[in-house]
Amino acid sequence: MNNELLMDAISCLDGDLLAEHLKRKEELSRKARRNFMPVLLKWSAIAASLVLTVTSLLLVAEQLFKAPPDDPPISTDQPTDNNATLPIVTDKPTEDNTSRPTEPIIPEGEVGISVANKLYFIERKLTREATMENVGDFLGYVEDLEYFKVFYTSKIIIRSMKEIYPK
Amino acid sequence: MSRSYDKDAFLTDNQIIDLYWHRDESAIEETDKKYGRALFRIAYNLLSDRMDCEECKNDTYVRVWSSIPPTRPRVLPAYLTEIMRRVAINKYKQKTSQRRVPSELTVSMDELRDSLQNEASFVSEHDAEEVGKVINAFLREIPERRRYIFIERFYFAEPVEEIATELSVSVATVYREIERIRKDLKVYLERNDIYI
Repeated sequence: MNNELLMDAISCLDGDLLAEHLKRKEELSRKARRNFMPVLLKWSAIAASLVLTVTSLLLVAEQLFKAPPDDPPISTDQPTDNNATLPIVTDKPTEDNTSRPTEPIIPEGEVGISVANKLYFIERKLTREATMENVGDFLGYVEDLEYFKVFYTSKIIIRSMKEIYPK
Repeated sequence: MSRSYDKDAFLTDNQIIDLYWHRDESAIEETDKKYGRALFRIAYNLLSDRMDCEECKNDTYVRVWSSIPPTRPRVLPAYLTEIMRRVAINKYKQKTSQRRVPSELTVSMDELRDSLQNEASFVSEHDAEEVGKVINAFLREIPERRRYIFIERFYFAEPVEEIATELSVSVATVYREIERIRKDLKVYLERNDIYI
């Protein structure tokens, strides 16, 4: 038995059945095209959300790690010999150097500023007021900060101390 | 004959038939624009050869041109499909006399034949038209989805994956339906004393 009889028999398909079939096929393809739009919209929404998320993350990261607005003021009048006692900073308090500074490190109106700016204020304060005697007090300000802030603050302290007491 | 229509829009079937009736050669161009791809696909499922498909398509247009008029088809796509399939089947037979054609039609016919054969098949002689009538009657009795699958698989020789996509069902579901159709068809044919 070859396939020819079957093929010829199926070729005798009734015209009405064929027409009905083609109509249904057309309906199905139209339905598939209609269903394609919501799928396309869904994927577009997902893609847009992803772009939005990535952009937001980039903005947050930029805000967290951006550089301070300008270089902190550092006194240029540095002692040149190793026996120098204290740095000469013009706006440094002249008395009670060993006591804990009374004014807050972060200025009153600066609540909600970025970590980078806080670090800048800490650095400025240290540069102006820190001495070998009261540096421990400054460290006291950062005790309650998270580890990374302490780490960066410590780095700033070391840098400031190097500037104050250069080798 | 004056016509005013958007260049990319298709004419309606009646307009195309009118063009044939007025012996306007653009009828073939319009037919090809509207149904060319579908006709090519039918031929490709049967022959799996692009050159042969193009040849069959051109033969189909010639046949349609010479048959309209006097014929006025009620449903143009069905008419075109029928002619295209016959042309492609003839080509398929020519080719299979030399070698086996590795097309989807071969696969689907093998499937169907294997499930329909039994001991009585080897002594029975049937006319294709007679079997065709019984198959038509069978198709009218089965549910619409099975009828759709049968025509897609065994008339158009569409791949199972394609049918599953069209119906938005799994490939396994289509295979299951085909298996049921074959069993039911065998019973139906035997009830009508037809042994293939």
